[in-house]
Amino acid sequence: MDSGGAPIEPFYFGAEPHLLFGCHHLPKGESARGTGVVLCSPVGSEYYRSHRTMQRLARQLSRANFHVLRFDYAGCGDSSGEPQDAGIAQWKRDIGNAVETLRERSTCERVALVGLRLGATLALSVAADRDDVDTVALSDPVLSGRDYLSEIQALHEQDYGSIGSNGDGEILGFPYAPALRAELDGIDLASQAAPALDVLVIDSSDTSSESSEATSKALAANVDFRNIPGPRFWIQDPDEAMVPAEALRQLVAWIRQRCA
Amino acid sequence: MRLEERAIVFGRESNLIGVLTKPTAEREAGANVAVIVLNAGLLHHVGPNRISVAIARRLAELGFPVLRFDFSGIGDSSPRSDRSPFAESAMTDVSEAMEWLQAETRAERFILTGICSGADISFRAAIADERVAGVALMNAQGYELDTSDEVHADVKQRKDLRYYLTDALFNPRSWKKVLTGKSDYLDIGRLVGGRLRSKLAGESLPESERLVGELRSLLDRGTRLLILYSEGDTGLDYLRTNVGSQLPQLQAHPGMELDVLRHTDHVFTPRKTRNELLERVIKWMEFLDWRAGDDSSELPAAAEILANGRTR
Repeated sequence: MDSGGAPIEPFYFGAEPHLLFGCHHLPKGESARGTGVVLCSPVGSEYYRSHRTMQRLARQLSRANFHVLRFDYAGCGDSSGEPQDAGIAQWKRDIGNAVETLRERSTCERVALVGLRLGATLALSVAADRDDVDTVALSDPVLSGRDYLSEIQALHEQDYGSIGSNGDGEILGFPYAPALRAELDGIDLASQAAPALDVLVIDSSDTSSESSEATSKALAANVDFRNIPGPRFWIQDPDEAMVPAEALRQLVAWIRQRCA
Repeated sequence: MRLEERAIVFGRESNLIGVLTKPTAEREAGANVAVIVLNAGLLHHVGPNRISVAIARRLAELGFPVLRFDFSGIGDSSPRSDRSPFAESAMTDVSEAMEWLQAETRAERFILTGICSGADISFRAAIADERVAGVALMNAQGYELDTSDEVHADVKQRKDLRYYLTDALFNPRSWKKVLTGKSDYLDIGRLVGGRLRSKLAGESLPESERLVGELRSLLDRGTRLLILYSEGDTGLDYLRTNVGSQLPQLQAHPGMELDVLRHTDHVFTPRKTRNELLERVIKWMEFLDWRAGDDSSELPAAAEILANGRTR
């Protein structure tokens, strides 16, 4: 049966003004693994479009006996605040907070991070600064903040260019204030030092570009790069988008292998 | 008072997950009313463009407790153990949400709201349960949980099938497959694709009588209806096809309001139009004021909108 029956505990953690909503998926079996997993979502319109996939992933990991925490960044999802009040620096603190919260709730000593899109970029950065995280799985990470902004801006123009104004820097329904744009602009993983981490990078495009493959392979000391063509569910109409079954399968297997 | 939200698990099977936003203001009139925001299609309880969060927080400021939650098998909520079809389980879920709110807050009556399938289920739940005092329906697609192919065919022929999965939502067979995990998500697309082809081949046979009867009985019962559409939405075609000629009569009832929002899409993506939507709902809720009996309201020229398919 697919739900697996493992309980999900929704809760708020952190403190005002950054109270964060989380869903703790308890491990299905009796002997939980000593490493927990924190899932790092994308932001903006990509967040709500990818919720279904993140939920599926959490469920699969819980069936593999992991403690799993899905959570919403400040100003995103069910968490407190508005998106314009948060940004990259805050979201990285939120990930750190989520790691500590899962350790407290589970008695896990170590935590693996899984990130999607901008969440992957943030996860890598947080992992590099922490002693309790050494395993990171990244799905379609944002390698260049500038490219990311132009990509979502183009989608916005295509779908909403003719509707209303874009006065407050709105992209696909979410505000991108100058401060956030500046932070995004500063993201360039190609020029970043490689931390001593075990990293899986999944590229779901039909064919990886040479440059993104090269950049991905240099993201950390030990990178397993895989091109697994799949649906780009984070930009698709959520009622039509598919869960990337093969990518999830490989991702879960990779984490299982590394985390006892 | 500060905004306070609580993550909750409820329902007889403890499978339903949601967030209760507590009222941040005292309220005299309507103190026994709580609001429930339902899922839009497959999207979880945060809603497209975070709209359900915005609705909850804004209405809490007006003094209403608001619950947003996920139906069984959608978003954060697990499927029910009996694997009942979506059309059944969603109705049970709404009942359990009302029971939970009744026990936790002073609520005795409820406002249900939702976009797309969330609107359709709000409508169904209102018919089934007299505790529902009002429904704010946004881009309702069919007002049905199990619509015949023929009814839809008429609408489908008019418009591209952008929201075709709505049909899957109301097709118990496809949901059963998804929720039991016997198919992966890919299969639902194929299944619905098959249904659509047969629909498009079908001939038009509008079933307006039942819908008009249901609308009228809700109004006669005293349930308030706010029916909102994005300009050009397929659901508006459906309503025009099935209720069009009867609309002036329905419109004459003070309990019904219908409006069309311009320059937006099916899920109110442009932020400006989300705010307009919210203000429209608030205006509706404030003027209701939850006193028994009727009150006079200015009704929008919905008949004209329906006839022309667009606002001026």
